Amino acid sequence: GVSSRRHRPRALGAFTRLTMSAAANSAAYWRIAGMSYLKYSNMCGEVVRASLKEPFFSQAKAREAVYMKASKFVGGKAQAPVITEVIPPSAGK
Amino acid sequence: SWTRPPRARRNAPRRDEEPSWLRFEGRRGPNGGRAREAVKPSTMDNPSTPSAFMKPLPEVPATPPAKLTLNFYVPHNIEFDGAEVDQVQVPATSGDMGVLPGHVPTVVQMRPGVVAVTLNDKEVQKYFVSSGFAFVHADSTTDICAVEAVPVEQLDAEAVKKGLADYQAKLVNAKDDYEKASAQIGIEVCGAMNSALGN
Repeated sequence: GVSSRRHRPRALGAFTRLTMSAAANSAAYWRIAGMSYLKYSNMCGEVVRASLKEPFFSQAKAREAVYMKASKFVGGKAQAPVITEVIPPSAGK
Repeated sequence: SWTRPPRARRNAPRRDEEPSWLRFEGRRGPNGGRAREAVKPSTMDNPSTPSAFMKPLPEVPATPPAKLTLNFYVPHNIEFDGAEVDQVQVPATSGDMGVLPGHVPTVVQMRPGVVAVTLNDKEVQKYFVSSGFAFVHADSTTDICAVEAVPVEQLDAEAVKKGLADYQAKLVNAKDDYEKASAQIGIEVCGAMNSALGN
């Protein structure tokens, strides 16, 4: 299912407030709830991946993992790297 | 008898001082002197604009081509690359649309649904698409870009039904707008997968 990654509620900018206004063409439900299209699209992808048959399901798990390594530079020297690894839980199986 | 040489014009520069380019190509003021805006041939190329580096747009044929050129991409795979197909059916947010050669140029956002590619007159390949965009160009090239596109045979009917029930329960127990929207996304996608599987 949808991975329970923490979401930070962001302050709304002017463009965001404009798209969320209840005008003649009002925004999509996910936009009103504060999601960007990118977030909505990736969530749809997660739901599809969780409903695959067995060999394809394990192949798809590799696509969901996120691995980032970041190191800050102070005075030209790299500090200790910070590794972010997110392997979302697989629901339903 | 000897005649005097012609008298030099007033303010005319001496011959050895005057540059050759000015003599033939320059414009001179009324006194024959060096004009303020003399035009010097440039040694620099004209600056390039971005359009100089772009490939020219493909020609729009007078009559629609016989087949559609399909490019169907997902980030991790290429389903079709320049394939010649008869027709593509695309699930747009504004409704289902069928694309034939000669279709008006369009950009549509896709909803979770089935993309049906008609290869020859008989063979139809169906892909369930999570979301994305479809572009039809003037020369009947169709680009479909999706986040996830799986053949409908790879969907597990049991997992879909279970997911639908899970998300409906999550919607009831949702605490804030964000969780409600997440549950609605799950319901929307699982519902579309259910109808793709024929239930």
